[in-house]
Amino acid sequence: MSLRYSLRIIQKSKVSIFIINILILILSIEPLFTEEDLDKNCYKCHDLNNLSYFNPDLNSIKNLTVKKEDHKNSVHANLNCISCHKETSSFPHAENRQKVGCNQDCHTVKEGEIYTHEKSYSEFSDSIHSKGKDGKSVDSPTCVNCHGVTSVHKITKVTKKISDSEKISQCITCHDNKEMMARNKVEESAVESYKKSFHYKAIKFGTISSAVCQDCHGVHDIYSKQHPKSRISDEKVEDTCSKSGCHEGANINFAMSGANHLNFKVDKEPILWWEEKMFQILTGGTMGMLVIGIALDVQKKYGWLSLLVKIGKFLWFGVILIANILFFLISLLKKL
Amino acid sequence: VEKEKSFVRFDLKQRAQHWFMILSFTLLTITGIPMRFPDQIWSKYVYFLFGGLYGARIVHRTSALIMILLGLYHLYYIFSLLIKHKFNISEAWPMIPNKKDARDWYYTSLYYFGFKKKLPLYDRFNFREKFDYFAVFWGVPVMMFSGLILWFPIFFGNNFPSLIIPMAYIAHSDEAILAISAIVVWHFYNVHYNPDKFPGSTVWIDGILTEKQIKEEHPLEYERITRKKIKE
Repeated sequence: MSLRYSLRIIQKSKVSIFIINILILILSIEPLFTEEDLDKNCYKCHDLNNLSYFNPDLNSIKNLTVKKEDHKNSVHANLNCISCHKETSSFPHAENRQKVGCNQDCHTVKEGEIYTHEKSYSEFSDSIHSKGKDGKSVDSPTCVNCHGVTSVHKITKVTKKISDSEKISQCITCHDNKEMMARNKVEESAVESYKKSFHYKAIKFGTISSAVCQDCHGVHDIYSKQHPKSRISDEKVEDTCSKSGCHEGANINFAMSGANHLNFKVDKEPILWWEEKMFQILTGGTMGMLVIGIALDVQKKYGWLSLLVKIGKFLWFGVILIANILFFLISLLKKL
Repeated sequence: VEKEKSFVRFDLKQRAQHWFMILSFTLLTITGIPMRFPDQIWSKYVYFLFGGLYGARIVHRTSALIMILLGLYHLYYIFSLLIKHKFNISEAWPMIPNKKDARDWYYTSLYYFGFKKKLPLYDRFNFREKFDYFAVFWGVPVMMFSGLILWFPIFFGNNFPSLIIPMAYIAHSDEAILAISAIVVWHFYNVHYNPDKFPGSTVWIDGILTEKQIKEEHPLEYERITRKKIKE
């Protein structure tokens, strides 16, 4: 029976049209292959606790458990397993599969285009965080390091813009780890020196218009200072300070002052080093001299011992006085 | 009972300068200290009292202006004194340190260590008071210039060597600590904590010393004044 022939029968028969209508209704109410069903097969195995894989080459165990609830509550809830984990529809899964990356198309349409993290991903893979100072290192971060999750399947929906202190903490997690920074030949006192700047203090005291790390250094597109694309390179730093709307009218001279990371500057500029030393000596010397003067004055005029006894008596008198007043008040209250 | 004679130590102009100094210094200290210790818990409560960082900033800059104007008035004041005394510096400015101060300091030290029986006789301003005065004379310009640089960072950063901003940062912060600790430890000891003066000397309010006080603390000045009176 050819298709055309059967269609002709359907068209002719009112009963069959009715049946088809019913069928369409049923299909539209409950589609045979729902979205969830696609994941159902995956969770048959991957929902098991402690599902693990032993990699003989690396001599390591990889946990393969994915909790259904975690994924259901995550920002990727509307994606199926296979939309990211390609070539896994067969079992056993194909070997040498394409690795999951944040640059994949997400099969979600947003504003008429397929939504993808490609732009952030390509910016990031060109940055110093991806490429490393001299070659990629074990400490180089990946997407999830900054986007604050322990497992990709748990990335939660962002309901509000992250605060300035949350932005700072994204960077501090690694950059305040001096051991890690020394290992990778990165400036160790970046955080420490930033915390002495007005930028940080203003945020600490609740301002929202002060600069955090990302405002000057970039987000995904962070490069070393020498790189021409870097926002803090000699060519671009002036714009970074002035065109951000923060220091309107600032020129390169202002931008190079380095007051935002004072410690670096103090180590490099002898004038500042001497200025700091001068003030330390001046303060220490003056205060030492004055304190000795006071100590001697007290000893000569009153004697430390007798003075302390006097102060003790005075304080003791105060304690007795307060105790009496309290006693009086309590007795008054009791009467009432 | 015969009423005790009193001596005017500070006239109204001098006292008014000190009042404005107390006002501006206190406000500057309260609104400035949290900037030096931002991680301390109490810091944010201090700024909370001033209505946040911006409120504190307005108070800090207003009191800074008071202090700057006070400094300028003081310059005018001391030069008018100079004119009044017909450019006789030692008479117009008794605050200028001299050889006697070095000697007084040395003898005072000897007295403290027990090598001398008596304190040297001090004049109108002894070496401690001169030290206090010149500490302010050094501190106010340092704080003023570094503070103005931090107030107008773009103007100064654009038109001067770029090191000027970090230099102002260090100077403003460190000189503030020096000034505050000198006031709280040294000046407060001399005029408040000192058991002779506790809870505080009143000369900054009325400017008046009793005969006993002036005889004890400024014997040379007392002698000069009484001799002058006898002559008259």
